[in-house]
Amino acid sequence: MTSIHEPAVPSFQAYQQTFCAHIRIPKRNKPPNGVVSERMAIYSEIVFNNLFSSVSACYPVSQQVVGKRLWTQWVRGFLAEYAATSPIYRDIPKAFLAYLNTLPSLPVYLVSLAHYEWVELAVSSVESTWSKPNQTLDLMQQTITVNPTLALLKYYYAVHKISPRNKPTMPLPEPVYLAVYRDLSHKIQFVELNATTAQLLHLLKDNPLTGEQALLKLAENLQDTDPISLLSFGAEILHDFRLQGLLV
Amino acid sequence: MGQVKHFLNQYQIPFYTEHLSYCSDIQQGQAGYLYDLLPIPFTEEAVHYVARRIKRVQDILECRIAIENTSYYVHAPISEMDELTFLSSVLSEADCDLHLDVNNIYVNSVNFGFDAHDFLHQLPGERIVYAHIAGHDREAADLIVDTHAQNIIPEVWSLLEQAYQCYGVFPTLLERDANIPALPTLMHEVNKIAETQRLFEQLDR
Repeated sequence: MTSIHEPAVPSFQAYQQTFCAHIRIPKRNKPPNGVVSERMAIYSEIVFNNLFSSVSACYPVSQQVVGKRLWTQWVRGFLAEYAATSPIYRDIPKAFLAYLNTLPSLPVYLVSLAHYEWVELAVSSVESTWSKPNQTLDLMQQTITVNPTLALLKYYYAVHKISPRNKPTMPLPEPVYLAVYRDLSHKIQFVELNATTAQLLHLLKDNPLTGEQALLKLAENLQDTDPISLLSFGAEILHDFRLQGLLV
Repeated sequence: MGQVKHFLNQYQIPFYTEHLSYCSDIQQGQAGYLYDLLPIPFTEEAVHYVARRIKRVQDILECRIAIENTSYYVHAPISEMDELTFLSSVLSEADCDLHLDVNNIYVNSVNFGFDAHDFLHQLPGERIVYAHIAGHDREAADLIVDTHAQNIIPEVWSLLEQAYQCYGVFPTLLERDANIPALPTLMHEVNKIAETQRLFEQLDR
């Protein structure tokens, strides 16, 4: 007769669960019964080191700004508490970013800085290809396509200027606008925008518009009384954007 | 798995292989990845469980996959069989191929005190489709950590030769993950693999 009290989890999986719980928090969770603790320490070490280097590679500035001790503590916390649900290696930094956002003691500017650093990785791995734009086409009459990897960012801290010696103490009175994108040689480019050029790029990114249509829309949004000068000024800006690889 | 299937099709990749290990636990009610190769206890239940999952992957990918013997450091006291029996049972129950890692045989033979050549000779050699070879870090007389950060040692070369001799020549990849020397230096090992393959291909004829 078979037992009706079969365990919900097979014993090898219960063992694995204990094994991993120990790796996640070696100080709190005992390893499975009977295993050699020196050998067990190898796993605690390689799993942590592996996670530490995957996370740190994406956040060089955040790591420096925070200092090794606190950073290590955060990665330990990430390993201890967070359920990383993606099997894809490249997604580790994104999971870490989500974890950082749950920390109550996090300096506010660090949320922005870490996000900015993560965007670089995200942009570098967007699956997209395009060819070199024809520099002679008239952007004003042509429906414009923005670089498919373009990320338009807005922060209340000058994230692109933060360093261990330059830690912000309070938010900026006006936000900073940044464009991050990949160029055709797979390099990541960073361009600082202003509120107007950022709005122009948002319009072009979200709608199929010619340069002229986008600029007229922008003039309308800005309640600009002199759209003619905005058109000529805007034409130059669009031309520069194309040279920089923001438009394709 | 859908993404893997698409990737294999896109680049016309003939083999898909995976380690005989696990990499996640249950964290707050959901799977949490640890992104490393963790040792499955060698139990009967685990054989059935892993074999079922391999079959499922083969069904989804619509092709045979190969499973790689993995290096490990902790013996599970709940194990009911040795590594060789576990590996062979999984391969036969799932009816899949073997991705042979000769360095991992050596690493485990030192870490757990068995004879690497005996292990090699008892493998289901007809299932081998592909191989890995690498260097490792010797931490103690009875402990090797599989770092892929050193040159291949003579004992591991000898295992590769033995494998070719017993089972014929198969595609072989040099793994080097850290402490990487200049390419010409690294190529000595790549070329040595090719020379060894040529030698045993000639002997085969």
